[in-house]
Amino acid sequence: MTSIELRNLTVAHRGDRPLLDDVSLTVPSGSTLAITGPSGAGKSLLLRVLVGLEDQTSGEILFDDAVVNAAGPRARDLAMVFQDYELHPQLDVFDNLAFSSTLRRGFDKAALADRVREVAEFLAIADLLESRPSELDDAQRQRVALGRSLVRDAAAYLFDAPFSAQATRVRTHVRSVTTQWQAENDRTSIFTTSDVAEALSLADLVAVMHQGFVHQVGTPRELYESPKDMFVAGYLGSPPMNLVPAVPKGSQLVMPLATMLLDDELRDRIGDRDLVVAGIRPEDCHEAMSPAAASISDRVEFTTRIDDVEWRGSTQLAYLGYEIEPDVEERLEEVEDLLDFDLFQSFLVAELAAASALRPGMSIRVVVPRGKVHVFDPETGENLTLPSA
Amino acid sequence: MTAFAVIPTVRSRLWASGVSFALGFGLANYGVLMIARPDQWLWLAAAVVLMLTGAIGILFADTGRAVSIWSLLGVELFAIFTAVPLLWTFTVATTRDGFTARALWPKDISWSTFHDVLGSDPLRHAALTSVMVSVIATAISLPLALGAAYALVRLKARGRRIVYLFVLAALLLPLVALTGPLADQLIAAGRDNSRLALVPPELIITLPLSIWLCVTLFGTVSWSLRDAVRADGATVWQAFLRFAVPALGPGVGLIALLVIIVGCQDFVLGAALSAGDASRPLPATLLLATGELDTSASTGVSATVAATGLLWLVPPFLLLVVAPRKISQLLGRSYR
Repeated sequence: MTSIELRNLTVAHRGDRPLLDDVSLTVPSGSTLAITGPSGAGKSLLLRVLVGLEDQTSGEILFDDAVVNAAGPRARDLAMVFQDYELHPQLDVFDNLAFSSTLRRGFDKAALADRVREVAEFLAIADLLESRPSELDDAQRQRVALGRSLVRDAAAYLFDAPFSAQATRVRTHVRSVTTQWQAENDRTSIFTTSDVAEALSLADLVAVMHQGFVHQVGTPRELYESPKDMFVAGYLGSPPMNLVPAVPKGSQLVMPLATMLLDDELRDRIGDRDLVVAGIRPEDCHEAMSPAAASISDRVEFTTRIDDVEWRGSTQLAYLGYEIEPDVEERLEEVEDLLDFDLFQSFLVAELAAASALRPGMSIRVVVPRGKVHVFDPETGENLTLPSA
Repeated sequence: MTAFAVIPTVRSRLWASGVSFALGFGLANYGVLMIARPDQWLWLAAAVVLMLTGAIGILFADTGRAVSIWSLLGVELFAIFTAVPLLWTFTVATTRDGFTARALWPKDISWSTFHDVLGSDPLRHAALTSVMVSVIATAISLPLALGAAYALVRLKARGRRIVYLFVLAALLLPLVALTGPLADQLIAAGRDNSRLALVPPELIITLPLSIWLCVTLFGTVSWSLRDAVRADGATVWQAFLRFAVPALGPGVGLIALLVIIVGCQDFVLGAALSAGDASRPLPATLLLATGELDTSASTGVSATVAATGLLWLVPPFLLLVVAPRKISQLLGRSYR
């Protein structure tokens, strides 16, 4: 299979910020990359540039270490699933599935029919092969679009939000048969999704993208546990990481609800910044009385009042409100405006065990392992807790 | 506030019903008093329909049903005003030799005029002129229009709005204003009695109309499907055969027919630019040069004109019957 590399790919936009901003990525042969980010991040555009429908302003695209900048879509030989399915209205499902394979000379009719049936079988559209797209619902159309590209033997596979129309129950199934099929055939694939859990669960590599800029690429675990910047931290996870303003005072970091001791290394990295942002994942918060909290020795602890509780069956979310100084709030709003993304709240979300009976108005003592608290520079977003490269 | 306040919709429906009933009542009275049979029956039939509309309107006025009595009345009046002239044309065309039509309802239908028209050399010649000029003009306009529409719809070219505005303006152009200079040109070129000389002026009609229709058509096409076909690796030729032909083909064919039909209806250019009978298209012939027609064996000029008009109506009517949806999509996109 083919490996894909992007070097400093940029698509300029008249007088505005570029639509793709110096994107560099490597997808090793046979692996799966998920590109995730809010809508308007440039995910679809990236795929369109890759497949050859749009031109980049600068930068290089390499397939197997060969530059393919000048090659057209036919020569690039990628299969792509479009967000809006793009099925041929006048063809039935079978012909739609076979369409792209028939564009190339020398295909074996019988083998193609077998493959179409095989793919239709595992995508649960085998009964629909005679139907026209107009007779299908959105989820079925999307599966046909997905199958259309899977039938073909392409150099690599691009999927633009390929599971978005599937019902929650079916989605996991469609996802897993798709990734299995790709893995069995040792295929390189890139897919986009705005569903963070989807990106983390099924890709070998995840790229977090926003405003045309790739914030971080890495394995799902790397991204989740060591986010390189505040955007990645705030975007990944559901509910997302709590980002609270924090003021360094000597060897202490003063947050709205708690105060944390700083070790020397982190204090050096914070330097003379008068404001930083502390990041705490909701699932890293534990109730002080719980067994999980008992095993945490190096800890940050605080007591506060519960504003609201959301019980979810397997866990429950406790909302713990706090106040922010107006001037701090102003600085945080500037950051949000610059990123065009809501990162900061005026409450901290703690994901706690479902067993304990929590009620709004109750007082709660929360324990957070000190090593799990990330500290970010508010202006650059840099994660100060990570050893600098 | 009274307990029986009439809500506006109900009031409007009652007004419509009243107007409809009054119209029907007037029609019935006039028909009974002033019109002789058999036309009286037509008057009474129309009157009954209008009065029934009034009655039904009153019954439905205070219900939640989504009916508009005003539009029902409008459709009925529209039907009457369309059907009556058509019926009159038919009656005139089928009146027997030596008689003059006096009643709307046809009596003693005779088809001989239609035979005469179909066998008339001047009329056949004129019809051929119309069709030939229109077909050639359409054949020239359509490729240009496809290119122009593609540029207007797909390319983010500067000033395309202004260009489109000019296209629309050209559609509304009063042709009469152009015929003087065009005629001078043709006379100066010595081509004032040639069928082909009508083709370039005809482009004034066919080109903007083709562009306008093609822009509408292109607006309904899923262009991202073309991207998908390209991404699948189609060559230019494959993309044409397997995307453009199925997606655009039927629409373009229909546009060609519509434009040919509109071109065939042209009277102004044909009347102003043809110096002789050899190059005069059909509508102009019917209105200007009926003296040329050999009507001695037939029922007279008016019957011939009526019969020709009815025959001339057949192609557009057939087109409407064959592709009503596609036509309403092309000509009136606001109508769903």
